[in-house]
Amino acid sequence: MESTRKAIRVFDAFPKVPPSDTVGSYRGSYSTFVTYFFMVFLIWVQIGGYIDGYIDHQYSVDEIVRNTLDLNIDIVIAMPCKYLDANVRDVSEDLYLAEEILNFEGVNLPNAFWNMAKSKKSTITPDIDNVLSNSLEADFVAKGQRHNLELPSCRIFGSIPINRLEGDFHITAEGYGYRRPQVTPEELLNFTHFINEFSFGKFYPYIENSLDGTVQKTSNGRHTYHYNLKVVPTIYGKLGHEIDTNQYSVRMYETDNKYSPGIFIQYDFDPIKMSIIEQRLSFFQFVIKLVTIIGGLWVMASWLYRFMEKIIILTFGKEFARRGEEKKSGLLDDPIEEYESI
Amino acid sequence: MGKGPSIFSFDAFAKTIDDRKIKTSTGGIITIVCIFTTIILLFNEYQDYNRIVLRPELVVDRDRDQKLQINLDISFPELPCDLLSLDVMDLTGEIEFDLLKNGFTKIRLGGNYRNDEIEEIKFDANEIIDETNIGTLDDGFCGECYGSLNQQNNNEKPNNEKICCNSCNSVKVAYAKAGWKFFDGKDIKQCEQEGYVEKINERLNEGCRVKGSAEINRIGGNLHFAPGASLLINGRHVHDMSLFDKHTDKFSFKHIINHFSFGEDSHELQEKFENDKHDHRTSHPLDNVHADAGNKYEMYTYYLKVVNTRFEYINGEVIETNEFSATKHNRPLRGGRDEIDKNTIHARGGLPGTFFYFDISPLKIINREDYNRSFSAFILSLCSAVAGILTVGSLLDRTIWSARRFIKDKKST
Repeated sequence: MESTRKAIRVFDAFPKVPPSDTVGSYRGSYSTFVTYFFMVFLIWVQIGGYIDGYIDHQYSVDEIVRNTLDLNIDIVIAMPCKYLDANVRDVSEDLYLAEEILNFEGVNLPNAFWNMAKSKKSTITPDIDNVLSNSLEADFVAKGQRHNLELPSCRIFGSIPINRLEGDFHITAEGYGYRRPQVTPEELLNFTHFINEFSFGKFYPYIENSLDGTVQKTSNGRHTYHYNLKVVPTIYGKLGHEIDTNQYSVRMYETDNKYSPGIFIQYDFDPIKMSIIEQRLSFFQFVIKLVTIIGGLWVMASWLYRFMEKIIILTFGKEFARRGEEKKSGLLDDPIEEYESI
Repeated sequence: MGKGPSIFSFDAFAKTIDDRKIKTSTGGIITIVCIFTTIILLFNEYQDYNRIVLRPELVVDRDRDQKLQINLDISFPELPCDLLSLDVMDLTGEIEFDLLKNGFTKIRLGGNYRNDEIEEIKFDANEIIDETNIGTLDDGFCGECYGSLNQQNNNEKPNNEKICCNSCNSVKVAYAKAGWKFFDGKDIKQCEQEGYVEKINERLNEGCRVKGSAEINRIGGNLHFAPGASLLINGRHVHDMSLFDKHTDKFSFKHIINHFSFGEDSHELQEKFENDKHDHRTSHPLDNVHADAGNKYEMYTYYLKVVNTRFEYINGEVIETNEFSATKHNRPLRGGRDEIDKNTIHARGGLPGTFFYFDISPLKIINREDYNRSFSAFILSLCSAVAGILTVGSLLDRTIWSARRFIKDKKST
């Protein structure tokens, strides 16, 4: 046992000065404690940073041949449902009868409702943590439901599969735009609307999109809203959890008495996909970082301590500085052998 | 080295005399652990230094006068080569490009599965049969146009002004001008003599594979495969569909895309990649796409968005190429409600065929291969790793030492 200990002892690269040759002081002990405290604090901060990782942005061109994707809509319009049409047209010349899948639900809304939401909201770019913590997937269960079509306001909601092409989703009034047997009475036309949700791809109700929660008010019946959307496919990822979604930018303009009244939302898809993925430092890298910081702190602290001692000696004199110093142990009562000397 | 003060008396690493120092077994253990940790970390750092990463950069495409090369290789198992024509058009869809370079081959496919290659025929895109129908042959022969052109006044005209259909092709053009259906040229003497009828009918059950590349100006446009020869009549681009229509049970635009890319010829690239083992390469989303709607009159459309891309490899090689995103769409020409997705109403009409619409993105991606870290960063991290580990080791050792001494002191008092 003693022999192996001796053998190991040979390796010790950190020979220590025997206590007989060192002096301790209260200031020294205090400094040691402060340094240790700092060290623990820094380690804590570093571990936190390691867990948080860093965000890596990548741009690439979509590698998959796409076909369709979902368009999720939840809009309230200040018109009775029975006079509303919703359709999608795109460059493939397909007409998608969105109204067959979307749900129309008549609602009675107080006038104050339209004043509650803002027409312009401050731009928020949700960060990755925000997006991921809100990435709760959902589905509209109902399809093609019709309720209370006579009530003065109409909520249109649902998900429709659209071709992933440049296209146009529009809500128009019966008899304006598409030929229908009944024509909406002019005094009922009012495309004041509130967009609760407008997103592409999988339906994540809690992720904030540019159009979500905005209201547009008009008093003119023959008023047309044109939205121009540029959709950028985006992947958010963290800790192996990835969500494939789409962001979009919006331009909006309004016209009066020029086009058929309604809400026209034009969209186009960008070929470049954005990946926002939170990466983690490799464990070894982290260890190196941590060790460097602790080492640096220790070296700095010891120099600082020496500097402080020097100043104390210079200002108060050697006598004052020596006060409180104690020799930890004498040579006589504490033979070196006890400390495993060679 | 003299005894006096010299440069060598300056020693930043002045030591305490070794005899006065104490070595402990815990110190030994810590040292060994430190050495191992350092070796592992250094090895890891070295690997990390050698790792090649791809750093994409998004810039606005500033290249001017760039050409766009289209490479394709598509098999049509149910369409004979004689019926297939390829056109490349620009944004407006009407005016044809002056193709800068263009070399395509049609390969006749036969056999049970229509994958045996029979014969290769060279051809050009935007091929237009151009016959004048004016003038007789050198020996004075004036072919009959079967009523498609007015030949009544021929006797009064000199030979070089007579309206004649001297070859099978000229009859074809005359028919097209009159808006007549030409079919396979049966009972037309010129075509029978040339063996055209026999040839066409023999090959009705063949397939066709088109391979090649064209270079065009870098603006959006479309490239399409359609049945029948394309003809330019009164400045309009039309296809002679009569033969395609004649056999109701034959022909379709079912196809397999073996390869589709923009930019530098990928076959050369493929070799480069194989030799160099590059990890990062262009993607070809359309490769190995099979399309079959089971309908003869079907329009297959691909909407492509081309992004200029540059790959800068670590060995200094630079490849200017293009990547693209693709959306696939197909619809029957009869239009109406989609059979599966009942909520879609397709437009009516159009041309049966395979269309590629392409659009050019204003952005450019520069994919730069780079070492994960620079040499100086590597050296820096080496130093900090070693220094850090040793400092922490000594710190740990000293802490343990002090603690033990403290406990010992406590015991002895």
